[in-house]
Amino acid sequence: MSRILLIILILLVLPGCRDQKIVEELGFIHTIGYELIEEGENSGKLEVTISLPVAETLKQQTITTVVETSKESRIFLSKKTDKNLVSGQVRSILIGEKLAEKGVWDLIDTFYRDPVSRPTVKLSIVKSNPKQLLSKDYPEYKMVDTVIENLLKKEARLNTIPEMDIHKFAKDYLDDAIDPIAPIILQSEDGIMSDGIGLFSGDQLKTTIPAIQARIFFLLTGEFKEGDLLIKNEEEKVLFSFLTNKRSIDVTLGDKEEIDVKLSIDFKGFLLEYQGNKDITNEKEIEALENYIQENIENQIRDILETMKEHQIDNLGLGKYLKQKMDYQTWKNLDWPKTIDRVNVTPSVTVKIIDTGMVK
Amino acid sequence: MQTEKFKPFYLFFITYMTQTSIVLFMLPNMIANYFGYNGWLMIIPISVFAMIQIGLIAGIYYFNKGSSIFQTIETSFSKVNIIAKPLYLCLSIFWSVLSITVAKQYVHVMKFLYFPQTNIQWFVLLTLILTYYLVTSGIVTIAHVSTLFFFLSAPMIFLLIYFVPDFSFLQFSTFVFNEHNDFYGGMIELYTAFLGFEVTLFMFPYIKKEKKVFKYVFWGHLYTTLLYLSVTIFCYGFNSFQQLNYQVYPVINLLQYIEFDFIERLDSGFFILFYLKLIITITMYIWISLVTFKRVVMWSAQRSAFALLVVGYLVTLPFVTKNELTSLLSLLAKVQILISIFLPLLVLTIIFLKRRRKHV
Repeated sequence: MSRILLIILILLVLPGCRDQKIVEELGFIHTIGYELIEEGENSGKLEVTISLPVAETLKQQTITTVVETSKESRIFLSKKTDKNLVSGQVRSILIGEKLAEKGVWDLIDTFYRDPVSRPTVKLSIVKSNPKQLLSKDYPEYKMVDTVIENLLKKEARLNTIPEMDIHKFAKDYLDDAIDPIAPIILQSEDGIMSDGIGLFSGDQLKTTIPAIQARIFFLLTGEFKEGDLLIKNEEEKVLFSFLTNKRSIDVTLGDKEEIDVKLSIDFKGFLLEYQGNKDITNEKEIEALENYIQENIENQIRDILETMKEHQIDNLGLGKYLKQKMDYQTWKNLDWPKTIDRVNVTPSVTVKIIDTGMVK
Repeated sequence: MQTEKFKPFYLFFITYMTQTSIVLFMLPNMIANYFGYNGWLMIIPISVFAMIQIGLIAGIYYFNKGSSIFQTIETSFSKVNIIAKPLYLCLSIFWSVLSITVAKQYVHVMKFLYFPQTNIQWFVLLTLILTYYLVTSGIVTIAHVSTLFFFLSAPMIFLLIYFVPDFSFLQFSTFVFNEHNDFYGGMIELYTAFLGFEVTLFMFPYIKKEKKVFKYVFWGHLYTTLLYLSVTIFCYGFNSFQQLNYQVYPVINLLQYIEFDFIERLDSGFFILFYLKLIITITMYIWISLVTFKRVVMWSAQRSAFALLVVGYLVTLPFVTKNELTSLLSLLAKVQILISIFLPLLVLTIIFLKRRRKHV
C-alpha cells in the first residue's frame, strides 16, 4: 500500500517539472514600440522595437525588426538575442503617430487575445519615432523603459494625460457611446515628456488636446477631482487650487432633432498665485476674478467641444448620458457619434474662491 | 456503503460547491450574448425556477421520511426492476461521463491560459485519482472536505471590492434585453449553471434527521445566485456591454486586472483555487453515479468507482478541443436538465400513486 502511495505521490509531483521556465534564460520584454513605415521598400510594414532589461549588465537592450504583422515580430526579434523572449511582463506599448492615424485595433486585439499578456499594459502614442525614443542613449536615465512607465503613471495621477491600458482602450473602442483616448509622449532634447491627449475616432487617431487643456478635459470627465489649475492670458495669470469639484451632466431631448446637454461644474478652492492688476483684497474684485476664471474655463470647454464636433467624435462619453434618456431604437437611429453636431452643450462653471493665501 | 450520517447544514456547502464550476468564468459573457443589455436580470427568474425544483426535492424528502428514492422506485410496482435496473446503469454511466467532461473543460481552460505545454489527458487523470480517493471515502468525508474547500475558496468574492473604483452605473444603460440572441436557448444555458442541487435527491438516507433539513439546500442555492449576480453585475459595470460580448472569459479578465504594489498576476493563483470547487463538483456527480451503480452491481465501492471513472475517462478521451468539449458539455447538460426536472416529478408521482393505493 505504501509503495502505491509513493508512486501516486511521485506522479502528482512530477508534472511540476513539465512547464518550466528558467528566469536566466528569459528575455522579459518591458516595452514594445510599433511604427508604420511609409517610405522605401518596406513601405506599409511595421517597425517593431522592443526593449528588455539585461540582468548581467543592469542595462537595457533594444532590438528592432521590420515585419508585416505584430505577432510575426517575436520570431524575427528572438533571432537577434540569446534570450528566450516572453511577453508576460510587458508594461507599456508605444505606438507611433503614423500607425495610430491608420488604426491600432489589430495591434491591441493581439494583446487582448493573448492569455499571457495582461489587460493592464499601458498604452501611449509617441509623437516622434518609438525606435528613436527607445534606443537613444539618455545619460541621465539608467533604463528608459522604466522612466516611461513612471512618467505615464505620475502624469496620469496629475491629470495631464489619461491612464490608458489595453482594457480601457478596448472598453471605449468597443462601446458605441464613447471614443477612446490615449496619452501622448514625445522625445525632447533633455529626455522624455508627456504632451497631452490624443483623441481617437474608432481606433484612428484624429486630433490632440494640448497638455494645458488636458486638465479641463478631465474636469469634464469627472476624473479630475482636486489639484491645481493654471489660467492665463496676456494680462493676468491665476493659479487656482481647488479642493472640491462637482460635475453633473443633464440631458434634455428636444421636440425635434435637438438635444440639449447642460454641463455644470462647481468648484471651490484657494487662490495660490495671482499676477495681474486686480486688487485681491477687495471682495468685489475677487468676485470679478471668479467670473474671469469661470468664463475662461467655459471658453476652454467650448474649444474642446468644437474640436470634437469638427471630427465627429465623442471622447468625453456624452453618448452614455444620452443613452440613459433614450429608448433603444432612438439610440440606434441616432448613429452616434456622427450626430454630435445635433447636441447643444451649455457649459456652466461656478467658481468660489475660499481664501487668497497667507499674505494680503 | 456506510450508514454514517452527516448534519444537514453540510448541505449548504455541498449544494453551493456542486453548483458552481467553470461556468462562472464565462457566465457574464454568456448572459451578455444571450440576453443583451442588462441581461443579469434573467438570473433572478431562472434561479426562482431552480428553487421550485429544490422545493419538489424537499417535498420528496418530506413524504419519504428520509428513506432513499431508490427504495421508493423499486417498491412502486412489481417487475419495476426490469426497467429500473438498465435505467440505473445508463444514468450512472451518464453522470460519470458528465462529471469527467466538466473536469476536462476546466483542465482545457487551465492549459490554454497557464500551462500551454501540459497534456490535458494527463491532468484529467491526476484529477480523477484525487476524485477516486474522495468518492471512496464516503459522503460524510465529502461533506467535510467540501466545507473546508468552501472556506478556502469563498473569500475570493471579496476581490470584487477591488473593482468598486472602476465600477460605473452608466455602463448599464436603461435598455433591457436589447441585442439579445436566442433568448430561450439562453434560459436553458443559464439553468445549467444552477445544476448541482439535484444531487441532494440521492442523499436522503445519509442526512441526520432534523427539522427543516432542506432549508440549507435553499441557502446554498441562494448563495450561488448571489455569487452569480454579483459577479455578473460587476462585469456589466466594469466592462462596456460590447466588450463583455467580446470576451470569452470575462471573469479571468477581471482577475487579470488585479494588481497590487507587492504582487501581480494573481489570476493564475485564483484560478487554481477554483480547482477545489471543481473537485467537489465532479466528486458529487461521481458519487451519485456510484450509488446508482451499486443498486445494480454488487461490487465494492472501490471497484465500482474505479470502473465508472475508467468508463467515463475512455468515453471522453477523443474530445480535446474547446469546441468539441463545449458542445459535448452543452449536450450532456441539457440531458441533465431533463433528469433534474423529470426525476423528482417521477418520484413524486410514484409517491402519490402509492398513497392513493393505500387509501383505496
